[in-house]
Amino acid sequence: MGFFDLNVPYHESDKQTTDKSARKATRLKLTVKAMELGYTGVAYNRTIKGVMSESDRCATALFSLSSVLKTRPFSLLRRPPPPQSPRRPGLRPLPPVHSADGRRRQLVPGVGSQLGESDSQDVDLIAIDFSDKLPFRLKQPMVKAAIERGVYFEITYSGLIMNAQVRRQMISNAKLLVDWTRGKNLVFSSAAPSVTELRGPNDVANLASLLGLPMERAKAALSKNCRSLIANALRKKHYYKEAIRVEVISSGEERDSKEPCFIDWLKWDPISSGEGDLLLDDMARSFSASAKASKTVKPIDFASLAYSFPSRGLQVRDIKSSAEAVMQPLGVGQDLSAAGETVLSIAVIGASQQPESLGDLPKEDQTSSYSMPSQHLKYSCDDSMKSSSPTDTLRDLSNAEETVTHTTNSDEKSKNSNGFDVYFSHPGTEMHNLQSQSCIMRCNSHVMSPGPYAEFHTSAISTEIAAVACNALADAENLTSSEDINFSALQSEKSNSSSGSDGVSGTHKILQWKKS
Amino acid sequence: MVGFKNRYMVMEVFLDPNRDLLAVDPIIITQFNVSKAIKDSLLENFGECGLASSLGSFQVKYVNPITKLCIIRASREEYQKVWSATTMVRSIGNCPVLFNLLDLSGSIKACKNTALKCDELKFEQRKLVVGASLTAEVNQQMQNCLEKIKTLEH
Repeated sequence: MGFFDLNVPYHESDKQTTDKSARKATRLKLTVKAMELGYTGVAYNRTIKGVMSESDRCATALFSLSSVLKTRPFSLLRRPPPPQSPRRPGLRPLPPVHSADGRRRQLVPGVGSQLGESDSQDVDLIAIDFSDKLPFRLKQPMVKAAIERGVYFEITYSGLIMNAQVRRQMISNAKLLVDWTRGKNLVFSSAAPSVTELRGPNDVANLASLLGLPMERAKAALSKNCRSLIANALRKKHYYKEAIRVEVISSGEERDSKEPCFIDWLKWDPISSGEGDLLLDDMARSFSASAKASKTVKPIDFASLAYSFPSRGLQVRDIKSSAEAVMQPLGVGQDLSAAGETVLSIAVIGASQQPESLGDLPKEDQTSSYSMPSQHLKYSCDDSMKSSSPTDTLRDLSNAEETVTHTTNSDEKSKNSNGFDVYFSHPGTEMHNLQSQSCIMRCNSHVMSPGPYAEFHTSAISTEIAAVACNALADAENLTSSEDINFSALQSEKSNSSSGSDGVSGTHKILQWKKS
Repeated sequence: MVGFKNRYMVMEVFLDPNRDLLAVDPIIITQFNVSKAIKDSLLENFGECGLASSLGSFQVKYVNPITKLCIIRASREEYQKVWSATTMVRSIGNCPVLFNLLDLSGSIKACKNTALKCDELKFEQRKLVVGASLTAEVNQQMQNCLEKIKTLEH
């Protein structure tokens, strides 16, 4: 797990700076020092007062590898990251995060209440300057409410190092915050004005213990919390309604072997910014491919499609137009048994509104064939999904033997004319019989929620699905959702068991169907 | 049975992190000045009692002026205080410094092994940086230091 320093001051954009190059040199030194000390990622902190405009959008130039190396040659004394983690050693600039500077808020009267109701959409991080007496009182219910909203608090440690007066104020102010959050949603960073105030990650964790945090929480505050903060921020930005990211898949090139695909997906890091990373090994290639593909993608507006569906069953449009080997026409019902190997069942999980009797499903399905577009597909969902509450579905899902992973990957081959991969695996497998399945489905989560119908969140469960049991279809439950769901799933039966969960950490949500 | 339980910290020191890479070291670190700096920091941050309770087992066991590596011993109860105090050291004499922990271990043996490895790596790095101006004297000094590590005892 890499360590991150999320506050390297960036002053170069101030209008009145006279020594831009000196500041840039300081920033470069800071970045290099951070890398030397063992940090995996650094974020530049740009302070903007007043109303932000489009022109203030983050356009920080990234340092090139050569300029970094010129300052000093590297020998990494640190232990290398554990081999199974998809993270790479190296320094990467992180995407911009909206932060509410506590200082700005001081000017507004009644700031304490404002803290509680701050714009939930925009704020990811609250950084309060502890080095002076706080003009407002930090109240515990406020802090609790903020945490529930998913907001992170930031404590900067350079004050502890600078001088005794600041140290005193800071420890007494920050201790309150630490006590109330107990390390949850807490992020440590340096606001180091120069290289002498920077400290290595282990040292910072130890300083955090002065504030009352146990060592492991402190280390998590430097690594895990930072990572999830950034992943969340990215999710809000790039994912439509926090659930879907649709990317055009470059068709053609990578069709030859399926192996590289898996590997690429495994290595996909949700907070990677693609070409900006300074990688110490040559895994950059795999990322650059995915990064390029994702740039041209615009999210699809599913909401307009969603309303046009009938209330029962799913309609699939434009299912693979091209004859993909994957999509062997899966006849529903009997054919399924023949189809054997090609699985792709995307379990649409959801609480059906009334769990239909299983008998309903087979009849209809048997008459349809997958090769025709716009069919009604009933998805079988987990037996345990009978519960109507959405929260139950999650639990049930996790209890299910198989878990379905939905991850989409931009590298996936596109077979569709729209550029989406839609594999239809028929959902026939009865959920409780899914044991024998070994295919991993990856799809990027999905569809949006039409108003009256349901709300989805994609589920983050990984399933191994091997062969679809044909008679599963007969037993499948009827899903009453009317969403159009595009799934891209891997067709190959090769199961990459552990891979699914590793690569997709930050980007999956839970699929939930609410009763309409 | 050993009554005193200790923690051994292998730390590296960065002298004047702002300076240019090839400049000569502004000061030479020795056991004495590192120890003094840490004690001052302990006094400033943790007071008389803090200093006194850590002073029992506190010792700077080894310092390598070429690779700037040091080994510090502290008692098991107080090592976190000592560690925080060294992190907060801002200068030794006139020179701003930066301490960075490389390894923490409970026995002198494990500490010796990692210190040897780190020392060698750092020496390699230094050779890369300094290039041609490495004299035999420096090499000799380095060898002496490595020998010293091997003879360390608790």
